[in-house]
Amino acid sequence: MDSYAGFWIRFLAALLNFLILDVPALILLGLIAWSGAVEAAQYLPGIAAMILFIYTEGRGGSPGKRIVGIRLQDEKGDDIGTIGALFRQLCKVLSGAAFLMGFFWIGLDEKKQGWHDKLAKTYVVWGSRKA
Amino acid sequence: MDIKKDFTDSFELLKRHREVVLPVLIALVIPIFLMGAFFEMSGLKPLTKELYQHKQNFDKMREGQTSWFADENELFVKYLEEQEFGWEKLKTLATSRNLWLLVGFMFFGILSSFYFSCMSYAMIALSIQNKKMDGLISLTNRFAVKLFSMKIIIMLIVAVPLAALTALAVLAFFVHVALGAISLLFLTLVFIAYIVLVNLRLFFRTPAMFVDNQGPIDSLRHSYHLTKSHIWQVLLIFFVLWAISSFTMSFISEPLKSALSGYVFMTGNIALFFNLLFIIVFLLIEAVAFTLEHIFFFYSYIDFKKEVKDG
Repeated sequence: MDSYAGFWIRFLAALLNFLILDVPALILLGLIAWSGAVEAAQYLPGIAAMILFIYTEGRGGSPGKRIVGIRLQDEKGDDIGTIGALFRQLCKVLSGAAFLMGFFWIGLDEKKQGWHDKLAKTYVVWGSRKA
Repeated sequence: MDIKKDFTDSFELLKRHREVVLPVLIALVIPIFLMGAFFEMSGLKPLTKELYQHKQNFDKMREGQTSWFADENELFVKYLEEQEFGWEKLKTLATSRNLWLLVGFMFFGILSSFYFSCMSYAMIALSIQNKKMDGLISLTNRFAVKLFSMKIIIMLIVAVPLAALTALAVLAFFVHVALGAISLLFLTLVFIAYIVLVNLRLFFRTPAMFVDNQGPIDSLRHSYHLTKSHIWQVLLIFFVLWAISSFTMSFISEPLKSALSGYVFMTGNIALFFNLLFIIVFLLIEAVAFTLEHIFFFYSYIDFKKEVKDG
């Protein structure tokens, strides 16, 4: 049986994702704003970071998860795919809307699932992606 | 209920029937065209362009000087006065011709958005049931009449209790000011609770009308009976739809708005080209996102109905 990854390790993975995806996006945003390019272009780094995040989540887990040695999977232990990852990302809006309770739920749940995991039927487990 | 499956099924349907995006795209494009035409025909464009340039210069000047205590709008008005911005030009544009133009364009914009939304719902319902799109226009016309009737009924469901509660509050004010204030507060809370309840109980009115081909009153009745004792599941579907909307708003609608204002107000061919490119791309993505939202709503209704039936 897979061992489920808990709240703190996932929190660390989220911090790493912030450093790997969001910080470069913010730097790029600053550069675009400074260069005086069209205003709409300032949204592109954020969108690119989100696309990259969803894409990697659909294939075993975000860069942060990979670094700390955990992976995202469905009930059968397979990758959740891009559509599954997009749905899980949407469900995070719900987890965050109730004073982040949906995220804190990870620490309380037997299978370490947040609300978004329960809705998207996903699990975060220790170990690397299946070959 | 399997909400995840409803979502993936929605994507699959969208992949199979890409044409369902078209009415939503038209519903999005027409108001933009009308707005552009109004700016051109009313003579407002040069003035707003000038105002936009002033705002850009003002923002550059204020860079690093903004504080929580300064009223930026007031400072901007002062800045415009210093630059001798011609406010009187704005007054000359407030003519009855422009007013009628605005009313006419707004009316046509709302009407076309409503009609094409109706067409989108009809196409989605047909695609879900694997039916051919023959006679789509006449079907849309029929549904448009039904949907419009339903909207009037909904308006009455909201307006009649509101009028009654307002009358009660006014009556209480006549008796005593304090009683009036307390009853106003209480009745406002009652009205909010009523609106929330009505919206949840009648949540499936639109898919019930399009998927099950029901009339306006039957759709409302059907949704009302279906949602009885299942409010939590309705809330869940509502929140997922809300999440799709807020995601679309942050990542698609905001850049689109920014590109649109850039296209209208900015000068220079390169800026115009890039803004136009962004508008086209984001409009397409927005149309796909809205269509997906509609399809998911319809699928979740079918799933919900099945679950209620199965007990």
